[in-house]
Amino acid sequence: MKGNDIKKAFEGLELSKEKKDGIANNILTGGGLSPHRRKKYLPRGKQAAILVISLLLVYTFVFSVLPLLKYNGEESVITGNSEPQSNDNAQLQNDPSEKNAEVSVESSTGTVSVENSEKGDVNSTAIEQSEPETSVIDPEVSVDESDDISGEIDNGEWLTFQDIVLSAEFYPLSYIVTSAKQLEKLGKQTADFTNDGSFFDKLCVVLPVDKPLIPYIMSI
Amino acid sequence: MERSYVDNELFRTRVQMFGDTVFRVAFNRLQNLSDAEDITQEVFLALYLHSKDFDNNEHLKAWLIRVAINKCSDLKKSFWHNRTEGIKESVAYTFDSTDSDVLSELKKLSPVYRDVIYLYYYEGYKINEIAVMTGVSTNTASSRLKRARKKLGLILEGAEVYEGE
Repeated sequence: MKGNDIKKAFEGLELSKEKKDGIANNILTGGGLSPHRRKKYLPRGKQAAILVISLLLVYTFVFSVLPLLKYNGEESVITGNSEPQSNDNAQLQNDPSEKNAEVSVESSTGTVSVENSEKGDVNSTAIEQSEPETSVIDPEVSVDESDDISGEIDNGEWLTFQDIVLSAEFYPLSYIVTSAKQLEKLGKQTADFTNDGSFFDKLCVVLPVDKPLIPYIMSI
Repeated sequence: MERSYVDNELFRTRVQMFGDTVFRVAFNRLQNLSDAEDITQEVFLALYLHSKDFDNNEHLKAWLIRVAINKCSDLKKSFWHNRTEGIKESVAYTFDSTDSDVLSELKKLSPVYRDVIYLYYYEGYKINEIAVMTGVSTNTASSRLKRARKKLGLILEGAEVYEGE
């Protein structure tokens, strides 16, 4: 093959005058490109950057905005995490056996202990008969977060009075009853919360039983 | 973008003058007549949108060849081109048997070698000019021309040559 052969071969490749006029007219009249090339393809780097930014936006939305939307004012839509307050003093167990437990108070020490129902008497009618729309707190008793009253779960873990109060704030159906008189107002006949059968007049917490997310509260 | 009548006529003249050159460069690269025509249109669209003035026609021609090579590379990398199969068309243009043989042998070379062969033998550019147009060093352009000549000669003699690039 010689150079002239190559030159001669390429001379046969040419556009007709009509085609060249068509190209010029297409451009001058705004026709421009063929349909599948009118839209420029983005470089792969830009495509990757757009993808990463989009994912970041989605994650930001999912993990920051949606958890703020509470279901029924209590539960997180996404995680369902309804734990109201984390406290090192209250290491809580998610044991269903704690649903039926009894509360006992030692007046001398001011502690509240919680025991499984299998070990002692439990009167759950107080919980079932409680009026969900009523909350009674004795104004004479100040609910001080620094109060020393605390509860001990049967496995040795402690539940402070602050935990109970905070739980009551998060769960409007709960009650904090501080006297037998208030218990009577609520129509409760369950004064026997103590081991010796006498009603304690310091503290009684009645919380709803239909809160599956806070088993340690339900056990009280 | 509004252009005057004189500009439009100048543009038509340029299309008539350099349309074949751009088409040959594109066909030499793509080996497909329809794609070559599309690339030709895109190159002249780029020229239409290009606001820079050219020193002379040789400058314009070199610019068009460079743009055509780039457009062909873009097309080769595009999603559309990689995932579609064009219709085999061998009837739109008729060549005599000698031309057809030469072009079919050229087709066996890689695109970079075809570029060098076309620019050197048909357009008559020198090695350093080809290097500038194709965006490589002069030594690379020279090596490519040498290899292309060798491979083309071997192919025409019937020897089997496999493309290394």
